[in-house]
Amino acid sequence: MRLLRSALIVFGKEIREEARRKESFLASFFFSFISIVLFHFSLDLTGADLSREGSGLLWLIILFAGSLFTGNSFRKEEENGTFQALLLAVSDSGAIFLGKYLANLAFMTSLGFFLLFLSGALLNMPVWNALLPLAFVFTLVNAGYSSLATMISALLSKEKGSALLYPLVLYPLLVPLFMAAAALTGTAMASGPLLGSPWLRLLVLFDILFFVACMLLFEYAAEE
Amino acid sequence: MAEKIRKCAVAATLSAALLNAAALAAVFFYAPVEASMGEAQKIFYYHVPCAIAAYGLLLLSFVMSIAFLSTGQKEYDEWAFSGVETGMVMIACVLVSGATWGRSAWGKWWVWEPRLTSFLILFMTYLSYLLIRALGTGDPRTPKISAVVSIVAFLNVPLVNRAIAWWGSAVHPARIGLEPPMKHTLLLSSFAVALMAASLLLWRVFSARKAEGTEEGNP
Amino acid sequence: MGAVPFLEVREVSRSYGRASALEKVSFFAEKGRNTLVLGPNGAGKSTLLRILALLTRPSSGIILWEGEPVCAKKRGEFRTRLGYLSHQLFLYNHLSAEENLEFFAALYDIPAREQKIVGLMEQFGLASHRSKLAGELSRGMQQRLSLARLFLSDPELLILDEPFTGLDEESSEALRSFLLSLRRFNKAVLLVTHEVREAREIADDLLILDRGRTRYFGEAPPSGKIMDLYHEKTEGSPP
Repeated sequence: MRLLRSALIVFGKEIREEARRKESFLASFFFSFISIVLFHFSLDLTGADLSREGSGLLWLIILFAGSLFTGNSFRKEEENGTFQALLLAVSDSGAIFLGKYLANLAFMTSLGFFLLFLSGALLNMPVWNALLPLAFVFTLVNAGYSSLATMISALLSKEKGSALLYPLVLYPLLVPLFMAAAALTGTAMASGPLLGSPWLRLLVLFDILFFVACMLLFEYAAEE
Repeated sequence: MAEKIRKCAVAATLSAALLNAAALAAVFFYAPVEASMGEAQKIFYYHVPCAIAAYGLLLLSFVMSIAFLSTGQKEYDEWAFSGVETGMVMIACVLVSGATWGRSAWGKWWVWEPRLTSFLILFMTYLSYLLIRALGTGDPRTPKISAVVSIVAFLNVPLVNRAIAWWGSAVHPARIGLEPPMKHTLLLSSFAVALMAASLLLWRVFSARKAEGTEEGNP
Repeated sequence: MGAVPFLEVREVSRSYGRASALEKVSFFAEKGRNTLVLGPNGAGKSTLLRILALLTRPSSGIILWEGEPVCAKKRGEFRTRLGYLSHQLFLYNHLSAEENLEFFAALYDIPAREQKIVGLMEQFGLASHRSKLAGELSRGMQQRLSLARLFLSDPELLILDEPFTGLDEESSEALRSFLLSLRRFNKAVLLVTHEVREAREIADDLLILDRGRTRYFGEAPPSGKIMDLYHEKTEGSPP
């Protein structure tokens, strides 16, 4: 319980700090917005099956925009060496992982809704009737995304060129998650059945496997 | 220790050369020509063993990375790094042989065939590993960072394979009915490729040890 | 001195890849005494302090707290009992002075937090800056806030890596008198600084490192003689 308590304190700090810094989340919201607009010009989506092609496109944007924010989640702790202060203040470094994980998950959730809103409003994607199943899918996908994104951010935060390396390490690992996300989002938009889909099983497996693995590996990622 | 590795490497290289000669002979003179795909099917005898060897090497790197994280012994890190490097060579062989096969079977160099695609993803994943190695040369944190990446990347392999299998339709012949001579040839070539991979791995580890030895000699 | 020293370091070595930063360094530190660590650049001082702060693992050797070895399982627990200060500030620029202290106090789970924070703010002359963002404070004020943060958790062991860096005359003086007062609070203090002038009168024990090896460990000579001893042990390399 001590772990959870410390994690929530870190989470609270993250929210307050990000609300003041603004740079990371504004960058990724703006990136999503401009991507939606540019996609309108680059792809002719009239007559396309929006629930299928649209969902892949949506996740491509989330993949890129999300890493703008999550990549920074530990890099910013290097500015004043605060990461060491965090390590010294908690008896279990897992609390830092969990706190940052929750903050990234909260951000990814808000980014997801922002993009759903934009794609519904600007690209006429069929999102309005499927909000509940979409929220379900997004939460599961973001849970998996946040585990790897958080751990790898911590892993690379001290590297030179970590801003460049981060997406290169993260994206290939997210391939199965991305495919499940696109497939399930398409199904949800087309009002198809989600439960029983093999993709859902894959997604849940990914979430559990990488949450546990990242929690265990975080200690090694954090220490020198 | 380095001397022992060198001896193993020499032995592996010699036997790999012999076995490969035998395997090539079997491929061209013993195995029958497959009816529908013709001579091009013979790529199969090297394509499949390379894939198996690649998985084996990545598994080795996964295990060695765990050993490195838990003990901190840099020998484990050398094995893990060498495993990925040699594994990447094998993956490259899989991709090239797969593309060549694709050219003769479907008339295109690249089709998004599930198993080939999963090797492409594998290639990209481990490319990021090599990138971390290359950028972080000399950084004391690099071995640990790459160990973590190697572990996560390997855990991801079954998920990638499943996902890609569901995504596209299966083009790969799911089960090829092999005639006995074909089976024998495949078995032989599998051993040949495995030995070749092992000798590459051993030479790689040996050169790492040697580089370290000379550096320690003149600080 | 008691039978079991408060902190004991036994043959600690650390190598980075093939280069070795520390070789079999052994010493001990007692509560209520200040240990000054001196050495030329690259002697391994910072590495040693990071190892003692349990932020870096030694390649070999052990650290004992009150006779108990710091094993992998207990590292986190021991970490919360020490205070570490380096040239970095360990402050969040986008949180106010008070919020910084509140955040760390909550993480350390300190009882009667509010009072403690108010008390520390007073003590370090920060009371009038409590709601300013840490990033907007002057360097001297930031250093004070950093010290206040260090004392939140009432650490038994204090590890200070070049704390005088970047301080103006007035703040250095404040820090020096503060370090002198620490003896009364019964804390073990380890201090690395190349400004021997600042530190000589507060040193009880002296550890001299050169190229990763211990050159001297023992009671510090009278303040005027420290430099002589230092030059003798390190063959005249500048500190």
